[in-house]
Amino acid sequence: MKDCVVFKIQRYCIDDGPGIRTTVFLKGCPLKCQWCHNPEGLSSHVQVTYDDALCIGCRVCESVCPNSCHVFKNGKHLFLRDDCIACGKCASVCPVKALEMAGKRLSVGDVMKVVARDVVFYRRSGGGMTLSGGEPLMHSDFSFELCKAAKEMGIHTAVETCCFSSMDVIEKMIPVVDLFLCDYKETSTLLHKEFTGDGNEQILKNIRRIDEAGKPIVLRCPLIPGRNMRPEHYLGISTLASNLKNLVRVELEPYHSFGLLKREKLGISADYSNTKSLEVEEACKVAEEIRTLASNIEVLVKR
Amino acid sequence: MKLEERFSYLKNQFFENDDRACFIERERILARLDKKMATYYEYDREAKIFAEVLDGLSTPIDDQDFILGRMVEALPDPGMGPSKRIRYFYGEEACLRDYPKDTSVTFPNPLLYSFGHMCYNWEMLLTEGCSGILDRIEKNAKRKGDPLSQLYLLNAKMIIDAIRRFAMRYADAAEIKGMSRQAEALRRIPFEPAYDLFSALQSIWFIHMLASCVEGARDFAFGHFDKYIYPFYIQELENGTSREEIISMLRFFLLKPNEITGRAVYNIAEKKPIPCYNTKQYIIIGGAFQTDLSTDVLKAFTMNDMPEPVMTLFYQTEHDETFKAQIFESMNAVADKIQVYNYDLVRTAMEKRGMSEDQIDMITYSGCCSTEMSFYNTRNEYYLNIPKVVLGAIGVYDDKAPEYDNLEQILDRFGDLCYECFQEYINYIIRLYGKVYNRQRGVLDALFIANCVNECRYPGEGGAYPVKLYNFFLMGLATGANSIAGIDKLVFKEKRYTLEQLRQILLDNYEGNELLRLELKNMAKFGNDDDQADSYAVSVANAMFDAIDKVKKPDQAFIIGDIYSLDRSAIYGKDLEATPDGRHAGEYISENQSPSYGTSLEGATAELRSLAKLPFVRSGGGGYNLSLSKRIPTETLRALVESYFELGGLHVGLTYVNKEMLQDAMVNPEKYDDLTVRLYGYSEFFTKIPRWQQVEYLERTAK
Repeated sequence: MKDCVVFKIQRYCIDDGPGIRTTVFLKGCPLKCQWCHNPEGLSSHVQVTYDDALCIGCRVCESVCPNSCHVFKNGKHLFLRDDCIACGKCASVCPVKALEMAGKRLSVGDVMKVVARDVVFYRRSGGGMTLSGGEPLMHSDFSFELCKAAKEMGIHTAVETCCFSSMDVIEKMIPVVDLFLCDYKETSTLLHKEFTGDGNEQILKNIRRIDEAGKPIVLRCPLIPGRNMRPEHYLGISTLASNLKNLVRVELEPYHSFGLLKREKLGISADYSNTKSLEVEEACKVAEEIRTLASNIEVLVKR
Repeated sequence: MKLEERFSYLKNQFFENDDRACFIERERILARLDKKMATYYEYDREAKIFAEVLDGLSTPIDDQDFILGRMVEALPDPGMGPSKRIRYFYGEEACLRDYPKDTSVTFPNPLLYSFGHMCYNWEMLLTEGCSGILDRIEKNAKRKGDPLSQLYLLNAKMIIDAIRRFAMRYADAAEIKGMSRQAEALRRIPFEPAYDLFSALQSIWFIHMLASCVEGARDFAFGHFDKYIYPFYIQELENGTSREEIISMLRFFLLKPNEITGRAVYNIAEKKPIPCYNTKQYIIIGGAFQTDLSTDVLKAFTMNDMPEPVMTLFYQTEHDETFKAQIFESMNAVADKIQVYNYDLVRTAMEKRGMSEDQIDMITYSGCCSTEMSFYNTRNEYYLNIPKVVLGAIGVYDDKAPEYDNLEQILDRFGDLCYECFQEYINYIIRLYGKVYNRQRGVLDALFIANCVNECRYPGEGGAYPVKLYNFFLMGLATGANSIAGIDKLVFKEKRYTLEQLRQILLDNYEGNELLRLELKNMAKFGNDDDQADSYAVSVANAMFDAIDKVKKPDQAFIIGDIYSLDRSAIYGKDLEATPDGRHAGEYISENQSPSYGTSLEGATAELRSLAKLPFVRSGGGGYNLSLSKRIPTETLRALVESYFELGGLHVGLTYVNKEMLQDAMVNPEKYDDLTVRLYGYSEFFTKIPRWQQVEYLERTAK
């Protein structure tokens, strides 16, 4: 089994499935959502992040970089990313963590060692492991092995996925995943393509297949001002949700702008540069609207 | 008024207090007695003063009172000003602003005081009444026949008579108000034994109020409340009283301790505590005595949602499910106002220290107020600044660093230094026995300590329970452990610095070595479930417990090593040199059992797992404050705490706060009247604590 680039293993997660969980973020995503709040998950390669606000100008990075990517001009630190090979030397010496590595190659065993640490908390809270990203199904073999290992240890598994993958991958994952947290970003396939780079036909097929297989589904719907916050989409959400036999609930995720800062640190430009996070009250109104359209489904606003 | 309205009316009274006020009647009487009493014979002096004060007090009753007994606070009279002690704590500037400059009489008047810090034998009061206690004293005094016993008896009579007169006057006042139930009770208790739940609660409150407000001391505890109240609870249920009615009664009782404010007492803290900044009235439920009453007390306490009394819960795995569910529901609702101990572990730890069943019940766990113990006669506190001892071990206070071949030798030296500190302290206390603390009598206190009654002696004269308890507070564990980690890295593992060079760098407060300091600051730290980083904390803790085990102590003495810093992490950090964990000189040391400020990066489960690695079974005391910025479901909280206890964790106090809220509270205190935080071992009103403590709390709070 090949290693995979993981950009974060976050313990004590209480929002990614039931109970107390450890969420494993795999790097790389087939979609390119304009509003992505985890832009470090877009590329499947290891990257270096740089936070200008933290740099104290000590120039230690300059002295260790093999490709002279760190240049200091007029007291300003310039990070020339084109030549960066993400060797990690600069991050390892940066005394203030202005430079950090986004991503690390890990084996299934490496990840499970961390996940296994909180077994007692999972058992008591009904929690477990959640795979997220990026898009975990982009690394289907690795994700499969992780979930398999977790199941063998009696750990509940959840996958947070955009469901943009081949049906084969879905079929493979179904037996080892206890809960699917499926993103549903946009009802209109044209707009979906505009916002994320691809249409939603395959995504819908996959969600239905998961439902047919009898696996519980949480439908996660980001609310992005100026993009998908339209009545037609709310209708789409309620229709899809009503048709799913194994729906646990719909979770609305109000847009927040943390992704913008992360993009800056990664040196990538933003397609959606809204700096104003969506007020929870606004999201609650949407939740109410969806509840009116489909009274039998639970709609929750994530905070 | 409807019941709920009465509760909120009574609650609101606490928030309308005036910072500058004092228990004016007491102060006026004591000021009058000041000269007169100077000639009294010493042995009956305090009893006479106590009786005179009691006879001079009015008997105020609010129409909404259910349990009677309150004190009247007012601004001091002209010419009356704060004592030296208040001036010191309150601050000269604030005193000049709030009080007249020239004062002839000071308050609180030290003519009458006790040290408090104890837990009366409430069971004895309820089952025997003051009359029964007096009977016993008479018999014992007769049996002993010595002059000291006769004097003790004389004073006891004087005190109990005065209490009875005062209760009778209160009964008359209640009668006039049409409160017949209260009037009937106060004609009988506290002189007679309690006869039902109401009279039991009324009796406890009456004596508790006299102890806290009239005798004038802080920190009187309620002890194992659900144990000694239980017979009255059962009786009440048998008589057909519903549990809802009982909970209401308990609510009235549990609100009362919030009335006891600081200015009336001898032992005053910095800012007028409204309410109850500085008097900690511990109440214990659960443990070996868990019943339905425990659940009902907890419900009543939760509905009140007030910081007093200080609620200590003993959690045991075998407790019934209803009580366990209530614990976490309550904890999630009132957060910082409840602390939970893993009682299975507490018991094991105490048994390991050789304590008997009775002693375990007696000693655990009312903060600094041990049952049947008068603080200074039988209980002593010592504070060990762990990082300072680490610095001592590497020669920071000597001319040069000692030579060590490996880290174990440093840890050995650290342990030896701990031992020297501990032994020196014990020797010092032994030298003091029979001298300083003999003066401390507490004429009221002595009537409610069974051993005093049996021996006819005041606590300081041999009446206190013969066990001696030493609490060694081990402060700044995380800072100490991370410092040891820093030394290991630089001197032994990477061999980049000699110990002498490092010593010099620390003495220079990292000047010219900022990059090294940052490197140390960013090292793996205790509190992130990193086995290597946590192992230093375990080694440091074990070295201290080994040292404690070696200490030569008097017979019948126990030492409990608590990983605990009370309110001292800022104070002890202020005078401490730089430490090899990247901490600058003067910065805080770590608080209680928590990781150093800002170093817990892996979330609550990792932090709890790190803590659970500590050898708590060698300790049994101390506290851990879990600070969460986001509310979590009760089931999740329960899972966190129960998992922690399963892993070997000892104690959890929870606070829900975030930086933003605290910052706002500092700027707009009027909006946050009822915001409480878990400061060290208990809950405090955030806007009422001094600025420096607010800043410290902010520092240690996650975003």
